[in-house]
Amino acid sequence: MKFLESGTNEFLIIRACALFMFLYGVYLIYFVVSNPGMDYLLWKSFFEGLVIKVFSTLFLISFAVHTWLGTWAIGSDYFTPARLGGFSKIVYVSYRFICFLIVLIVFIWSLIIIW
Amino acid sequence: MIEKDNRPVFLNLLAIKLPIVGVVSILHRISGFALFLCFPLVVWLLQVSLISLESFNQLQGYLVNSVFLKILVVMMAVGFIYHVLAGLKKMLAEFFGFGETLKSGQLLSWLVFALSFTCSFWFLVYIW
Repeated sequence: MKFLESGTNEFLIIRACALFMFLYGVYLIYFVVSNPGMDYLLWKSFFEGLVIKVFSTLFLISFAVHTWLGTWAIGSDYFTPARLGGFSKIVYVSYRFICFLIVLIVFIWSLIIIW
Repeated sequence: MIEKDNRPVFLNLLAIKLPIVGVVSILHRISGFALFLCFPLVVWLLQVSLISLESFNQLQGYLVNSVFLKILVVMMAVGFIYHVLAGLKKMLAEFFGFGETLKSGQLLSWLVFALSFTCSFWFLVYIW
């Protein structure tokens, strides 16, 4: 994949996703704070609008991309041959597999809740 | 002339005094990874809150009465608040060049800690 070889694109993508999640979070906090007597009907109806469903989905995509790249940055720093020797490959691959599972579970599970 | 390399091979992390800017950076990484591991719990809370009126009220009751759940939620909130603020500090430096000198970097680092503490405290009061 040429697109993800430079490092610059990962750098920009991880930050774009972060900013989007930040704005989504601010909006969600604004909604909760501006409705002190929150009840089930209000909470439920908030997540039923088409716009919030689309934005929640975009949030999930951002979350998946941000955490996938973030955990890659961490793993490729620590699970290296210089630190772990011959075991580094198996440790790194297992680590990436677990990361992938968490991202996948969160993504699919939340998508089912939202839609 | 080849000199004998006397440099230490192993870095003792406990012997290194990390500057404040470095502390912000490593905590950003640690909080990010912790939040990643905690996120399924957030999804579960969202699910419980949306399933039915009964489950929503039950969760609301737990949030009011259960100290354990309160502490758990506050800890995650502290993580989110810190990770966001430290991330914004990072982007200020990367895109606008703020905090790239020693002085301004240290100042912004303290600002991140102070703001995190203030927001976390506000959240603690809000939830309690």
